[in-house]
Amino acid sequence: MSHAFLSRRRPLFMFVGVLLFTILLADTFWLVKQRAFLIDKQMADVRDDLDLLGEVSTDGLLRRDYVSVKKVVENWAKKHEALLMARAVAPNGFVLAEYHRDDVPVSDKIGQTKTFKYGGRKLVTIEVVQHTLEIDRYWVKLIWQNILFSLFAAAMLTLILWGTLRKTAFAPMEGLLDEVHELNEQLEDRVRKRTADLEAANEALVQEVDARKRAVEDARVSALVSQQEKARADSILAAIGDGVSIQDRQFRVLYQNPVHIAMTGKHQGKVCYEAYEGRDAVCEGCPVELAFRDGRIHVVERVVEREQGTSHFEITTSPLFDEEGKILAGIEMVRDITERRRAQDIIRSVEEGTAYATGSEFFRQLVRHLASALRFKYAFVGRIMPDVSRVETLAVWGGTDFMENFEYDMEGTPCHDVLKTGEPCVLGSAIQSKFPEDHHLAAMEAESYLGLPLISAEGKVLGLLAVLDVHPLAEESAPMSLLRIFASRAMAEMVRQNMEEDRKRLEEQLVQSQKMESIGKLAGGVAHDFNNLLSTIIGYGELAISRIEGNNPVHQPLGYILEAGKRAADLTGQLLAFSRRQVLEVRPLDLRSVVEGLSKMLQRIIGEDVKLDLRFDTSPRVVSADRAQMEQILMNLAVNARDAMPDGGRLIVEVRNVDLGPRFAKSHEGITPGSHVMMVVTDSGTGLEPGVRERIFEPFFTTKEVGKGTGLGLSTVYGIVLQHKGSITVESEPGLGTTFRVYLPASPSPLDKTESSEETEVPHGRETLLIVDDEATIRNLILDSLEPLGYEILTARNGQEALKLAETRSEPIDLVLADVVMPGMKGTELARSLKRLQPSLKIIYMSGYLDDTRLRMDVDDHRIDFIQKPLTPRKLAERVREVLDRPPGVEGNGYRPAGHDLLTKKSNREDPETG
Amino acid sequence: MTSWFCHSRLLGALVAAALLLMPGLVRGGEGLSLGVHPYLPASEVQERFVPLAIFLGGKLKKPVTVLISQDYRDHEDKVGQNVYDIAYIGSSSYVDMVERYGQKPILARLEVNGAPRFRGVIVVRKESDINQLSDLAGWRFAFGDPESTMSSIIPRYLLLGAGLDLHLLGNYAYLANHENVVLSVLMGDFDAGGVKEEVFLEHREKGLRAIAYSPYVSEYLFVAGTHLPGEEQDRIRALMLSMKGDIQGRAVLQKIRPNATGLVPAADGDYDSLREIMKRSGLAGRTP
Repeated sequence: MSHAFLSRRRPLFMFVGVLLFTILLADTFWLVKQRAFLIDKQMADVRDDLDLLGEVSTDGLLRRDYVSVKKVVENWAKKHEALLMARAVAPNGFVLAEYHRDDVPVSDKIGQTKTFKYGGRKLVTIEVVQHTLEIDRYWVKLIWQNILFSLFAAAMLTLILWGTLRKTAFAPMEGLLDEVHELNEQLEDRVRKRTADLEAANEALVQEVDARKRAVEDARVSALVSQQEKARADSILAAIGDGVSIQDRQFRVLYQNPVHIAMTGKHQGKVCYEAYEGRDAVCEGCPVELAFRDGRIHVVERVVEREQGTSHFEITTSPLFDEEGKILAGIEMVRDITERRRAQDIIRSVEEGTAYATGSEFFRQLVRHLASALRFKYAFVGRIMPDVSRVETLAVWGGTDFMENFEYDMEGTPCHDVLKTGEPCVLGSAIQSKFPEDHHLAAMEAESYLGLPLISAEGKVLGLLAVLDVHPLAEESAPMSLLRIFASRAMAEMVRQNMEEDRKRLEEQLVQSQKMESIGKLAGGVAHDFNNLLSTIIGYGELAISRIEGNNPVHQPLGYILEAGKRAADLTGQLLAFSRRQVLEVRPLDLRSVVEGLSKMLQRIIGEDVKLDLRFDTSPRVVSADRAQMEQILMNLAVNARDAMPDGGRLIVEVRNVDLGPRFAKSHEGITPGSHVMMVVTDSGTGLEPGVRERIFEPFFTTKEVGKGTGLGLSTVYGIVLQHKGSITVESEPGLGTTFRVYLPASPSPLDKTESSEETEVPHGRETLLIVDDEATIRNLILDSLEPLGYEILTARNGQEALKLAETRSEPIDLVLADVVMPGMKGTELARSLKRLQPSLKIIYMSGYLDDTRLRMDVDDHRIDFIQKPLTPRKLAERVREVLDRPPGVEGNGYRPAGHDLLTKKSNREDPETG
Repeated sequence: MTSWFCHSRLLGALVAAALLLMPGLVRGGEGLSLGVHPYLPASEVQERFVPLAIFLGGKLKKPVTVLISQDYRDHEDKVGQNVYDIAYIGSSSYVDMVERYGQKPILARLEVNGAPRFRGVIVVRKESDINQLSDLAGWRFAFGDPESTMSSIIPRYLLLGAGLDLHLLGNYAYLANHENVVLSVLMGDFDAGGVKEEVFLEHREKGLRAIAYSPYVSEYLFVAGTHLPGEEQDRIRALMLSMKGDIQGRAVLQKIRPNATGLVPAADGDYDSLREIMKRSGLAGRTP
């Protein structure tokens, strides 16, 4: 359809549209009315039926025929297609009859209710709900019909009207319109031509105008750029936190930034000394004048007294030069350093106040100055106690005086947050409500709180510094920097105090250790002397018994003497083990025999009020260990257990076979998986606190008072166990006793039965032996023990004599038996000297103890052969024979001396026995 | 099946009407007559019993016709006088009939919900303050049909047992059937009523509560006329008793009583307890 056609027929379409709209509007109105009418009709029908139903129901109810009433209502409801629900309800609410129709789609619902009475008494109420589904369906049908009819009617009317109008009015009008169009086109042609001319002229004019505009624009841009630069400079100066002003050579204020204006007031155009100071001449020492004079930057400080107090300003001036280097003006920067000065003053006063104070007096001065500096009522410094849940104050300032120090539980206090997180804590208000259980806050009537942890260089929280006030905190950031300064001072002093305490403690422990060392030496010396005596008793006792028949009357008494001597030897051996003076022998060992052998001593140690209970596996495995060290372990643990049971109790000692797997080995230092023997010592004592348990094996660590313990007993045990490639654990809870478990690897070697065997023949020989001992009884005992066995025996009283004898003798000596500890030349020195004379010479050292650390190391390094006193003839004969029979060039057994690495937790030597 | 039974209902009605006019033709002939008392409207009685008649007829290979008596008394008379070959009779009617006419051969009795007995219940509304029979003095009581065992005779027996004669009640009325009784109590028109337990259980959830139960009474039964040959009686008895194990038989019985589970043997002694109740309440010899 062409545009002309449509434009000409626009009125027609408008007419059709309006007509159609009118018809549809009328239809709509009618349809709505129609629906309402239908619904009313339906309701009226139902109402009529309801009346009828009510009559029937009334009759039935009066006759008490409820069944028939029920049936009538239900049947009626079933018949009425328009009903969704019908109910007959008694006055008491009982539903006599009910019918529901559920197969009807959702639509509008209409409810009706009627109550039927008889003689003023309600009989029944019938409720019905109708749907409008049928009405809706009918209505939809009506709508469509009306729409179609409306369209048809509109079309017919339009055709009729249009045809009429067209004939009478439109046709003539169309002719006129055609003429008008033609004229219009002619006119448009003329206008187009004229327009083209005008456009050309306009174009020329526009170009000229553009050129002029460009010129103006360029000028404008230049002005704008300089304005922008000026604005940038202004904004930079305004952003500077300090006051900036510019004065010319006549001291006239040319420029002030907003900060300067705020500081001094608006004085642009005025002479600075008149405006700022009210003077009529330049101020003395004026930095601007100085800058003008020498062309340099000058910095001065000015103090200004104001109503609100004294203010400090730092003024920096620099000259402003032109292109020729001439000073044009001076730039002055003013900075308010009042707070900085105040902080410096406070720090200085703290330094002065605490410079000569230490310890508690230092902390007292610190908190007093802190409270004053921060203007808080309360200030205190506290230290975390060994029981890490509590804090003890070191100094407390209470506003006007110091308060008594106190301890408190951290839980439920603001200090808890500080100490647990290691972060500052700022509580500006209402802290009592936040920590209602902290009664100290209530006593202080505290409202606000600032706390800082005191953290050592290792990162450990040692304590805290805190201030409290009865008012809310005004600003929270400002005091923190000062608080940190005080905290660092407090921390330094606390660290210093801790170091001082540690030093004192170490000194005390050292003294104690030296005491023990002396006691040990004494015990060792006494034991050594006893060993020599016992050697004589036992040695000659054995000799005597071996030379008489069993039925000899003196056989039995000699036996008693020998037995007593051996018991005495046991006791001295144990004493030496306790004093750590005994030289050790690592052998396959049955720990059960160790425990049983030591049981009397253990009972003596723990006392009569502690019951000793021994428990063993039936066939305990063998371990490679030094008997004396094992005894030392037991005795140290027994001593420890005794101290934990002051009122008596029970001590259980067990020896068990255990197999340790990879997981156990992984979590226990020094353990490899496999068969082990476990020795367990359990007491029913007071148990250990968690903090103590972790440190129990540390050297010098003790919970006892000074003089009551060296702190070395358990560290010794630990060292011994590790040396034996074992592990030790401790389990303990306060009040529940303590259990130590020692794990030692099982040895594949069988127990050495030769020591206990008395039945084998005493070995003999013909070699030449040199005996060197300062004790005559020992020399004689050895002589009497070995000479009958066929050996040639030489004796010497000391090292020098022995050396002289060897030097002068032409035949070689096969073996030297030398006491280690002799006056003058020691046994080891003698050995070295003799070896220079005769490298193949074999040497067996004898001793009861070694009390010299260097000596031990000498012995250790040379891998010596050794025999422990007291001596017995058999032991002598067997040892001598063994060493003599060893092929030349093969070193001795290399007994490792005890003691020199007992103070460290790691073993630093490989055990040559076990490799 | 349903449409077949509808047709049968109409046919049965026509036959019954004819036979009622000709009492002489009731007995004899090749077919059997099944008499039923009018405990429901005639059409409903027909609807319920014609299926049984057809079932029996099919098995016995002879037509069985349903005949309905005019009332309870008439039914007792007809049964007592051997007018019917087979008769369905209520428990109290049977007792009364035996009292007046002597014993009749018992064919079987109904088993409902697995039990051939039933009992009556005195019901009140759940929220009522009445908790025992003696509380009923001065309150309104609803009975069913005056001749009904469970809705009249037994309740009156129970009331008498609690020392309550009718004149001690505030008001009482006979409402013709069990359902009316429970509905009247639920509606609040009466405070208590007597019905059989089956009806009480059906309406309990609507708001009823039981305050007393009667002793159990043997169910309704089928009797034969003494004129019927013993062999015939045995055949009919066996057939009736076999209906329990027959799906079709059970369906037929459930037309008579929806919860019927079969027909089981019975003896006159099963009705002794009812006999005793009726005697004690002075109702023996009356119509049920």
